[in-house]
Amino acid sequence: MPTPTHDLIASSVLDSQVDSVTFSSISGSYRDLILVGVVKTAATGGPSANLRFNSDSGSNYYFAQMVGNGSTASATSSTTTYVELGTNLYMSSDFTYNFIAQIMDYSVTNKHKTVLSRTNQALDPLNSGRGANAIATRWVSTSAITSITINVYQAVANSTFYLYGIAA
Amino acid sequence: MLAGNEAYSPTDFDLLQTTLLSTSTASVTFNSLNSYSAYKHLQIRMSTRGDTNWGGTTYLRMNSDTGTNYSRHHIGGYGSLVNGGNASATFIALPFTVADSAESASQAFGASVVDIYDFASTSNNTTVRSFGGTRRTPPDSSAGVEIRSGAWLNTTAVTSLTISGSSGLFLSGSRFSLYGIKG
Repeated sequence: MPTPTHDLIASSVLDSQVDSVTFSSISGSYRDLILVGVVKTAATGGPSANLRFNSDSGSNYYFAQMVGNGSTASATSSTTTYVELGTNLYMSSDFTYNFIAQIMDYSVTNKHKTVLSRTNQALDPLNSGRGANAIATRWVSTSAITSITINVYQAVANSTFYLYGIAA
Repeated sequence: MLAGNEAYSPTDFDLLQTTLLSTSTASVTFNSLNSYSAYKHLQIRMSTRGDTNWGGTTYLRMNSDTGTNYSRHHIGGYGSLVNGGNASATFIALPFTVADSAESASQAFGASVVDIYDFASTSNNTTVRSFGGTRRTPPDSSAGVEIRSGAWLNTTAVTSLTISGSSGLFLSGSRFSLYGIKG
């Protein structure tokens, strides 16, 4: 019997500038999560966007990334203290970026959590060097995810964040 | 989505079936897809780990067709290497399954989201896109992130989907969930 899913379980529409948004008390009612963000920032330069689970700031996130920047494609992999969403975003009040992160198996306690994220920022033709990011991250933890902190660095009003639950 | 617009919250994205393996299994098949005529597209969300005999490639086949009736393209990032490729093949390749022989952390699984478009169409070839990956325990950076596309060069409606490896078994704990998306 089909079961309707893809349920909106939390959202935030900023009414003032912040550096982070946290969705907490996430229930284990679903198997996967989808996080969608559209962010405009007041920053020029500065850190890129990232996620942390359950306030874990240890070096427990392994990622592989590929980037198309307007003329070339490149790849990197590393260990970090967060889920990278995009390393080359252009922090400027003139431009918006968006991301969608598939957070797989967030509620189970026998698997590490894999995040498949896509971040996009198309600039005008005079500002190549940004573009499309695709990243796979493994959070080396079997804990169920109960909170997600989205670090967005000087995100301004009207930036939006939506969290969906996917049953399985 | 800009502030002031409604949140995207589809009411026509339904869970159809889930297979969560409790024993090692060579393949997983979703059958009787013709019973899902209410849906236009399908999505598979999966997290998979292969046994020590895992062959390295995850296959998707339609209607048990093992002929050279598929085409595929990909772009992938593997450590510091990025590349792409294409082929005609007897299967559509999906992103990474973590192989037991390559990753000591038994809790590590590869993840993929696979979209199958117009699966019931009898006038179009069936096209597939997938996004997935994993990162094995450093310093091993050979696994990575992939975006793949594929086509089944056949206008028959898809009534079954089979996921397997080029060799080896999916280990217990591997998960395959099928969703329907209305048009």
